[in-house]
Amino acid sequence: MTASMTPRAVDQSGLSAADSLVNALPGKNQVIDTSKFVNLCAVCDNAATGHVSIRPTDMGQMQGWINSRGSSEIHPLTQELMNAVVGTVKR
Amino acid sequence: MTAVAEAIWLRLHVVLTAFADQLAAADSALISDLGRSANDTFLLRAYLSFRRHNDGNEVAITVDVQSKGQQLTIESDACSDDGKVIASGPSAAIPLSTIPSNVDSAIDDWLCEFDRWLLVSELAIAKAASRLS
Repeated sequence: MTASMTPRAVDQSGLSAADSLVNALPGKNQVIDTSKFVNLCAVCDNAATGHVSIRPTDMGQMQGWINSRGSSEIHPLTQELMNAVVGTVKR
Repeated sequence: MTAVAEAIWLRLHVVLTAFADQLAAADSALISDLGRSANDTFLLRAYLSFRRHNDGNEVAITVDVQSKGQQLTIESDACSDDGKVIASGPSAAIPLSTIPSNVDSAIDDWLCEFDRWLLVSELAIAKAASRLS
């Protein structure tokens, strides 16, 4: 579960998310309160699809975050994302 | 309330460790990760996830415990990381206004149900794990 909240090598622009439930993938979705972000930000990079990328405010941290995937220690940005989850919804 | 979450986690840890061992016995290439978190919303988020390599997809069993008003809610399922629900697990809404032994008993009942659900869902979860890239 911490892995799914940590970007993979292909996620160079950030973790994929949606700006609303309407635009979310079918199935279970995590509800994230982006106002809780400190070192992360949510960038809507496709207004038509509502696609949002969750990335570090300092993109210099991106590779380190990616490299931490699968590590036994939770990266601070993964922890920040986990702290911002305020619910789950099924679509 | 933290004590209740801690008690649930201790018992879940035993159940999920055994489940991880069962799947690992059948598929030694699976990497499992058992853990928990908590935040302002969730008293407990317990998870057991499976993947084949660090950069791959994962399947996770999750148990979310929240305090909602005068109720303790527990929700569980097994999902892939794209949100696809592999199996919906048991849920519970336990009134906190009842006497503590009733709360303990309701948690016991939910844990028994969760244990049974793991048993009947093992094949579906193992199948989803076998397809992980």
